[in-house]
Amino acid sequence: MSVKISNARKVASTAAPKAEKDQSQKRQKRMIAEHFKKLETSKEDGRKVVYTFVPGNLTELIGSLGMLPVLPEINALQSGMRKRSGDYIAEAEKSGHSEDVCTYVKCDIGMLKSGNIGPTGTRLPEPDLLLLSYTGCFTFMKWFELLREEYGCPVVMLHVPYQANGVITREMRSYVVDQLEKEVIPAMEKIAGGKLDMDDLARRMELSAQAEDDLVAVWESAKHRPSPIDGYFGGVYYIGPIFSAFRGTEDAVAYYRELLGEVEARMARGEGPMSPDGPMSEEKYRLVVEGPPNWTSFTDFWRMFSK
Amino acid sequence: MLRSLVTTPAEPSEQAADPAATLLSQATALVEDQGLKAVAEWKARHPGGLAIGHMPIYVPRPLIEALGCLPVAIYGGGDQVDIIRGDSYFQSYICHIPRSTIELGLAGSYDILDGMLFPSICDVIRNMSGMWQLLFPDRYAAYVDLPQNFSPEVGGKFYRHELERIASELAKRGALTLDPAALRRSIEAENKRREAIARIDEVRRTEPWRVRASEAYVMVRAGGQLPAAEHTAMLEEFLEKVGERESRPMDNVRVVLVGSFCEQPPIDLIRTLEKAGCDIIDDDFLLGFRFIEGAIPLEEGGDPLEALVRAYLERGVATASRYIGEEEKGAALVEKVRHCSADGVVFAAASFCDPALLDQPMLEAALDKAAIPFTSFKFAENTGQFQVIREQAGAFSDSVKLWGATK
Ligand code: SF4
Repeated sequence: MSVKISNARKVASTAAPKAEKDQSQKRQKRMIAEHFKKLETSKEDGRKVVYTFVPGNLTELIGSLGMLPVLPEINALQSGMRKRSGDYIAEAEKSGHSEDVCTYVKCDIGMLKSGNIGPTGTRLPEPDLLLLSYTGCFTFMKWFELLREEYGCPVVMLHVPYQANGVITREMRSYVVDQLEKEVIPAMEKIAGGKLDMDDLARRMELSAQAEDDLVAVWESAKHRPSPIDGYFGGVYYIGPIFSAFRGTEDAVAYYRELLGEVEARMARGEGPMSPDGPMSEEKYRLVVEGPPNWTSFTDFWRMFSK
Repeated sequence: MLRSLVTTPAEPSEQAADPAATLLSQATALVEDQGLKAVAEWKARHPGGLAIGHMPIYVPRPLIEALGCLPVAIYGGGDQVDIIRGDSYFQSYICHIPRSTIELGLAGSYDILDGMLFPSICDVIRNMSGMWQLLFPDRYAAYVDLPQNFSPEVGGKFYRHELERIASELAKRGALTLDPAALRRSIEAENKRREAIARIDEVRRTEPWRVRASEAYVMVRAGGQLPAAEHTAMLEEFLEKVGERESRPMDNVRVVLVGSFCEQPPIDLIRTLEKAGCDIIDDDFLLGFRFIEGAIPLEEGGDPLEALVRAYLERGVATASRYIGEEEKGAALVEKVRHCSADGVVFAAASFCDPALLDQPMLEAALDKAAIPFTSFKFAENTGQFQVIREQAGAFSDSVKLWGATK
């Protein structure tokens, strides 16, 4: 991820009051809580659960087939933010995982071995299907091979070719379409116990496009001086719904519409972005950051830039 | 240490007047030739011919040879290169091979190469393809996206296009255009090489004292910068020479080594394992040469490009970088151990190698289930201290001898 961020040192040295959350943030929290509630009761409700990855995710397809997504990467980073990852990683290493390898995987495996309690404090349902969207990060492949050993459930892979020159070629597209038509969708239909409704899928894709348009407008707002958003730390929250369980939902559309409204209002007032301690008042540096933040010390890390 | 109870006879190649000694030293010179002198010589003999480097694990070398180019296997700098600039391009927690490869690239060691191919093994190699493009903009650099879908009409179609793309991109840079007859000839040559390697592997399995793993390693790796036919001649001569050796069985344990498919351990590490009482009768060093099981099947009048594609789809060996779908994880390793009548497995992965190290717990679980003993350690290509590994491997071989594999 390469995003623009705008940071400012706070001029006032007064202790920051606890920042009031934006409406969009409250909405996102509600959405997540509802999703985890659905996961909690998925087995009783007869809803199938699909574990999948963020890059190359097929949430619209999962939703169209009436299934619920779980994103182990997001669980791992949330465990990091909740300071649980240390124990989980130790648990995975105890069971034979090398100290040298990706801690996302170990955090997830450790969480699984510790009862699979998700970020909202409830037990996550086991997967009915592992949908391996392999976009070039090799660790993903190993991750789901490991989960397959743990859960003994089917895996279906979607290999998204690497766009080495930044170009999506006809052959790449047809490789993806072939996989979807010949393997991924049939495997998903088998688990879901029903046929894919193309109209419903098209409607969900349309909702995704609407949500994405608003999200793009949010990113574009960073061009303004001062930027009304922090595209890195704040951006982590902004991408949440579209990167996780909410692609192709009315909820995502409503969230991004509300978020864009808030951002535009801040821009109109000449305000900077929100920080953990409330709005920032002065933009001193405009930075572009590459790579994920330090999840285990996320807020401290944020304050290093915002205070 | 129990190991001291067992006498280790002299290495075959250390014995007086070893018939294979000259060949082994020729091969060693090729392996140690970081400046790619052999490639320069090939280019002098083939004016206008392109030399195309490739990273591990697998690229279809016959395709490159069919285009009139020399495929050159690049394995990093081993323990012969001081890393000065290479480290500044990478974070500390990744493996060593990209550092030494970049170091050598920046030092001009690969200037003789007209291009580089980066097959999809892991994120590190993938991202190196982009780095190479930025660092050496005047040279050809391409990522080879090996499909992880193995159905002919899906992954096969895509892979065929990848091969055609590379062929046409190289042709634009001066290589020959892809000609089915030339491809057929280069696949035939590759099959002969593979047959010679398979025969060496067979000797290792049946008479490991006649060809040590470290010797087979050097002989096979030397071919990384040779055309298939030249390499085959060398391997066949080696087979002849080792047949003349007067070696005798050693009281060693038979092990399969797993995890070194990309970054290579120093040769002294392989020798250390041998000295510790392990006959490495199978391994995944230099996996590219063995990536396809058996010969690449060429049908009379059939399309050789399709043969190359089908070989990849249908005959790829089980390794960490190959998705195995619904098959049982570790079953191929257990089968290999049984096929080779091995006593145990040594896991030797490069530090920070995600594919190898994430694979390992699953393979270990399969070995546990099959009651096959194993031991594991990590290395870097420039590891210089082998004492701990020697003790560990010695203890492993002694324990296997004393208590046996409980298969
Ligand atoms: S050693 Fe492992 S992690 Fe490093 S480049 Fe090779 S496959 Fe990738």
